[in-house]
Amino acid sequence: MKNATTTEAERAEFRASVRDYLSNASPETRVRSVIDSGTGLDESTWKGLAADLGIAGLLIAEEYGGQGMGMPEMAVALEEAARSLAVVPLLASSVLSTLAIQLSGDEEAFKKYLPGLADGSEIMAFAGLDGAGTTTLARDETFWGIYGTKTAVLNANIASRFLVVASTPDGTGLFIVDGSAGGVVVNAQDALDLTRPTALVTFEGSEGTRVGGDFTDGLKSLLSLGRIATSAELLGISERLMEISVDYAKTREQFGKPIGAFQAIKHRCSEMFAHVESMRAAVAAAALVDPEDTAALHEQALVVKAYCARFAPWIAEATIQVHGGIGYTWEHVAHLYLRRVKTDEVLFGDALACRDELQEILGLTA
Amino acid sequence: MDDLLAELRTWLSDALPKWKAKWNGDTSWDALCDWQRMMAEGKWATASWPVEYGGRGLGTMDVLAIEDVVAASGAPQIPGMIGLKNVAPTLMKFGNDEQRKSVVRIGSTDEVWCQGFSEPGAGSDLANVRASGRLEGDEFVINGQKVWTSNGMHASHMQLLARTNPDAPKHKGISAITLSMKTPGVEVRPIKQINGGAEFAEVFFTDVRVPVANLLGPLHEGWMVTMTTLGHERAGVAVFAGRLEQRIRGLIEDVAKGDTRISPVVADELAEMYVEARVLGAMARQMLNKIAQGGTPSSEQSVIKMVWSELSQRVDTVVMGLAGVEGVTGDNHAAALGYLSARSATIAAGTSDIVKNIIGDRVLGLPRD
Ligand SMILES: Cc1cc2nc3c(=O)[nH]c(=O)nc-3n(C[C@H](O)[C@H](O)[C@H](O)COP(=O)(O)OP(=O)(O)OC[C@H]3O[C@@H](n4cnc5c(N)ncnc54)[C@H](O)[C@@H]3O)c2cc1C
Repeated sequence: MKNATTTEAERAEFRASVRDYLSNASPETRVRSVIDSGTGLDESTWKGLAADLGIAGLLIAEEYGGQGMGMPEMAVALEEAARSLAVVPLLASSVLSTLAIQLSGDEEAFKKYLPGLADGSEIMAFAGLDGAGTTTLARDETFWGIYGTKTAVLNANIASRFLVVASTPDGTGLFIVDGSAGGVVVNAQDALDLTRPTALVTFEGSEGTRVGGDFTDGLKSLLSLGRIATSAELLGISERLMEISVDYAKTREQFGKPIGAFQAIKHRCSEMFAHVESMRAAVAAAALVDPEDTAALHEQALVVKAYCARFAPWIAEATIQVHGGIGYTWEHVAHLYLRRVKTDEVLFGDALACRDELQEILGLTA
Repeated sequence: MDDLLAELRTWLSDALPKWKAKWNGDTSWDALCDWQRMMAEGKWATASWPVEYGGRGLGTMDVLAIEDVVAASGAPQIPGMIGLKNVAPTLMKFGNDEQRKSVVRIGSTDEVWCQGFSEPGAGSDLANVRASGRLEGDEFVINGQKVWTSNGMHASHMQLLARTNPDAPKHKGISAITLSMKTPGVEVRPIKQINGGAEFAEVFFTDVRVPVANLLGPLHEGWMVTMTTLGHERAGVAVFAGRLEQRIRGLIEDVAKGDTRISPVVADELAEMYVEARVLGAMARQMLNKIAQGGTPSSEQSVIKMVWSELSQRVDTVVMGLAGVEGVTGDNHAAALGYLSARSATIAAGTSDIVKNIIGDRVLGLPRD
């Protein structure tokens, strides 16, 4: 992955083309029908994004079939995809799994796995979070045997492979486990986010391929990039929610005037705007940090996530409030966004958790 | 730019000790004016002004870099900020030959200008100004009252807003007029503030006669002239934001270094402020970049003003909290002073409520109430 290779104007153009594509390919009606199908994947939209727009391979070097871009460009894609609620494994496969492999530094793995990820023909899931009270272990038997349980594995039901973080006798390791390997059990969870299924994935001595060596630093960078990526999603959604709220405030009338004329509503909308602009600045700053500068990346990612995870839920809740009763209905889009927001909020640490780590960096913990 | 800043540092290393030796810890108005005079002679206080007015004709980014270096040198505050940043650019743009002569004197503090806009009945609703400027022959006859006039006690001149056409709609009948504070019929009274200072004043006008030549800009177009004035310091709010970020970083460093134990709640409060300060700083830098690339910031200004005023108030509240009982016993006077002074952040130059109205009405296009 590189640092910014495009200009702001080029990114704006890119954004327009992604938005244009998604507004046709994945309108709300489409999102709802994919949700109802229970597959957890909008295949044609994914194909279009991955193959036609090249988004699955944004973070992958050209020699492996990707676009050779970095987080500034991927942030745009994440914002737009989240805004459209498209049911695609962008975060799980094209960001987390892709970055995990790249951060391992294992060139063999690059050759073997990145091309499939780059064109979207292969979908992988990142299994990083241990189930409650458990530790995933990798035992060096005749092969690396993986034992443990991972929770909140995004898009596990459609993944052909899992990137698994596990403890080895010599530290943290990254492993690739085939979905069809023995002992892999995928149990769908009752995910809050209807557009992005999660699963509890159990590995009972499943055969894993080790990727790279010690993954301690790799994991730290991956978590930082995950924070920036989820922040970009939160930004994209927040901006959309603000637009929806403002539009409604202009058209819904009570007491003989549009509700947006009432300051309680108007000021709520203005505060939404201020938070969206703040998030935009924060995401832009974080996406531009040189990923090789791990200390700066870590700190900036905590800052952006602490901010976005605090205010995006506020915006989603305020959107429902601005809409009154209709905002509380299943038919209204607000809850679909709220569900995604609450999920992104906790992935890689919510605001409180990020501030906790910041306190340590700032020397504020006794 | 590097050459420029090197020249500035050399200049400061000579000028600042001279000023300090001369005034020996005195930070009175006269002492501060003396510093501004030196800064203007060096063309540093006036760096943004065109060369013919004794400036350097520099752009926003250079000026900000200069201000940063000056601030870092420990130099005192410039007292005539309103004149330098707001009045002088307006005079250059709208003033006649005579009015434009004031510009150079504003730099040197031979003239100190204030802005007489707000009135008892015209605060947030500024277009409601009632002070009248009746045109009689070749004179304006001014009657009425201005209030909250910053620098009012020190000012030699005022940029005044007066109603010159009482029959026109609110925004259309106002004119901008310049006048000397020594004009007969002008009376200035100090207003004591909650922080004990008296930086602002109220100004009364009783049959004050000034020549028509004192009209600034077109007749009845004072609203437009004033909005231009207020718009001059576009980058100003971004500078404040950058300084606030620095201040919060410094505060946290001090707390971290100090040996006072802080509770987890306070530690989290500090971390939360840190996050907001960093985000505000990023927003401010992006706005300045936009200016540097020739762009014109629009809604950023309002957002940064709103976020800055609330966050800066919060910092002082936290500092007051950290001071504990010393904050209320006079032992930590600075904390109490900071806390009291911070109340004005959400009032001066447009209250936070008004900024939210502006964002709602002008940026989001929401219906007016
Ligand atoms: C330190 C300081 C320096 C100043 N310097 C100057 C100066 O040099 N020259 C000058 O001309 N003025 C100056 N002012 C005045 C300043 O611009 C006004 O105080 C400010 O615009 C608010 O006006 P007001 O005080 O009349 O309050 P009001 O307008 O009466 O407001 C009172 C409260 O009502 C709220 N409010 C009013 N209208 C609305 C609305 N439409 N919607 C929602 N809420 C509303 C306000 O937000 C506020 O909370 C200064 C003020 C301060 C504090």
